Amino acid sequence: MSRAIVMSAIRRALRRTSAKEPAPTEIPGRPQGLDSTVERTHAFRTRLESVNGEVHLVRDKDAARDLLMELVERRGWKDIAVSGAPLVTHATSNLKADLFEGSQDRDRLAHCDLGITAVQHAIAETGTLVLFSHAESHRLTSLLPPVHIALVEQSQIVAGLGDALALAHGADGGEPPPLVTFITGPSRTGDIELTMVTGVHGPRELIVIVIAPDSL
Amino acid sequence: MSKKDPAIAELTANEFGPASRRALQDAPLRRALAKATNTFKGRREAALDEMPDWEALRTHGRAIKDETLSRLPHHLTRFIEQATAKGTQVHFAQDRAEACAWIGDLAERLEAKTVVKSKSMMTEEIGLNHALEARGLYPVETDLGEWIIQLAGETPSHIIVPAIHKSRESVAKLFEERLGAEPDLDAVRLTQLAREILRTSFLEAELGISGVNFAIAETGSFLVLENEGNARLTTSLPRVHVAIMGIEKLLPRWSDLETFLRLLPRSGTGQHLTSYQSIFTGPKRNPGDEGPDEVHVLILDNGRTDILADEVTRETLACIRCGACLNVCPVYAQVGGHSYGSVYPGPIGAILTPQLAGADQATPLPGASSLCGACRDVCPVKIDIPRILLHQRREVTRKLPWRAPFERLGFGVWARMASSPRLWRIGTYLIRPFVRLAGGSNLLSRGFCRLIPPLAAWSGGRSLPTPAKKSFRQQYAESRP
Repeated sequence: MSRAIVMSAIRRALRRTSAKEPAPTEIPGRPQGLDSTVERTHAFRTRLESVNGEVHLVRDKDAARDLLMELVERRGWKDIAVSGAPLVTHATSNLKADLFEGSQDRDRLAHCDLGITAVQHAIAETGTLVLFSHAESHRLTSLLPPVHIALVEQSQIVAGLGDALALAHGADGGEPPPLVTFITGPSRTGDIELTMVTGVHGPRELIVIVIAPDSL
Repeated sequence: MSKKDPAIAELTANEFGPASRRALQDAPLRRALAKATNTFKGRREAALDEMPDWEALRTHGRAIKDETLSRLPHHLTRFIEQATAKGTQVHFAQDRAEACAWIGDLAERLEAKTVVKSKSMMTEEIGLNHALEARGLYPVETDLGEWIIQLAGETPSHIIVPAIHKSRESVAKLFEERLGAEPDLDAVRLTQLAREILRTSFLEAELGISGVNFAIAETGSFLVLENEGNARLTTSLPRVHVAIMGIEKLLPRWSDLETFLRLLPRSGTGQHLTSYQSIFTGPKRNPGDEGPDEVHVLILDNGRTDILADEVTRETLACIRCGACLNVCPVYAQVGGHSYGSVYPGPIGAILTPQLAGADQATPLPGASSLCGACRDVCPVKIDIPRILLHQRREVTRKLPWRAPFERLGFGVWARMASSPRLWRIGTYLIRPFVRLAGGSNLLSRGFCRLIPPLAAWSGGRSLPTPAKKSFRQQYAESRP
């Protein structure tokens, strides 16, 4: 009922207006010169570090596993949520900690020490992680724990926002997945006198391990 | 102009004069405003230095918005079809009463005891919280700034940083009184405390309410952009998610997001991108998946079709609520958001509020500007705010002549005189001695102007300049050989 009334009010409001041409398809502001994986990796790292993300480059998957083990031991993380992505399973295979599927136990997730996910893509232009709900149960594991570690393969880093959006557009059987999440740095607020504080609702720390054989 | 409830909740825009005078006496408020507006201005400029195509981006963003508005029925119909196909339930409401009633009914159907909300100007506009409170439901604001002002029983004073008017000390005192916190906590401890308390609400909530930054006709998707993660929690943990948007929030294509993701964060906070963007396309597909069972989108008119119908002011609907015009406005920077008596303050509020609520509900707002044009220069979608302000000033004197009788009379006399050389010569000759006497000293000037009521209001904040001994025309005539 209201739908019909509102739609007809819109039609009435526009009765003397002719349709405008579609906006040009040429999109301005795209990043230049991010042609190689090495350049994209460098830009991704620089941009993410500028917004308080911690970035490590490693040679291969085994090196990622070793670095993760070292971080977990050093920081004393005991209860760890994982997303179930194959890369995460490999990287956590010899961790001496309690691992659980974050998507299966939200109360435990809310009180655990760390959440580990992979990503589907990353964006060099903005230092952004891109995750799809149909590809990986990342929704809560990347959000509720105080620390989020993401595993990225260098080949997943695309140049710009437009590239990532184009990949997301048809990712789930030709359609966008139910949820696309872009993550650029830890959770932050400046709501009290503009003082920047991280970890207000989501993770206080974002640590990204990039498997970057081309850069090392 | 409606006699019924205005489209904007708790509107006191006609009190702009006294409210702004009070704000000007509030030294801590003005310190906070100066700090905030200067910081955001600086951050925005720094972010723009790294974006050489900024003008092209603005032009592109505006072209997309113009295209959308000119074919709004087409794009809305497509959005409804696509969203419905993906399992999102789409609803419409004509005004705020209908919208609030619908959400209240939904909350009752869900038997929701806890409702969480992320930041949404639309819910502020319709006064959703008070409407739900009247039905015994107490929605919890989860954006830190919004939560602070909810605890304080206040209203937002900035579109992006709602609690910008509050000092750290006053927030610490508020948390001490309302939450039993230790006295004088710093910003980090205050934020941690908010995290702990709000986590409990998130985990208990049955219903999550969010706004919408952009909706996409092509795919039936919508995007929410934030820094804190509270919108992600609001839209992920409760069983039901309701997103509320105005009819103007649409973009035709998924690929249009690229331009707006470059425009909005740079304009709002000077970030290249905010910490989080979530793009929603329907509820979860399988029972074991994460996320809500039901996703609803509530699309509101609430006065927007009237704005759309007016070709002179239609571009107001291109606004993406970045707040950049607030930060550069010399009036906003002095009087703050509350003076405007509307949830939409600053230059955009000055043009939007009268259009949504009726010119008679916000008569002073079109005048709350020096017409310097800074708002137009920073607007990411190039809304010509000064042009609309002038149009609205004209409308106020035309439609509501009794609101400004002396202005009407005074400018009428002025126009008559200034358009006839003879009348001008005679008039200036006659008035000259009086003006010279009055302009000679501040005291005399005030005394003189107080004799005539409309001039008293005018001279309250201005002094009369002393005219030269001879007029320009006299000097010109004498200088000719």
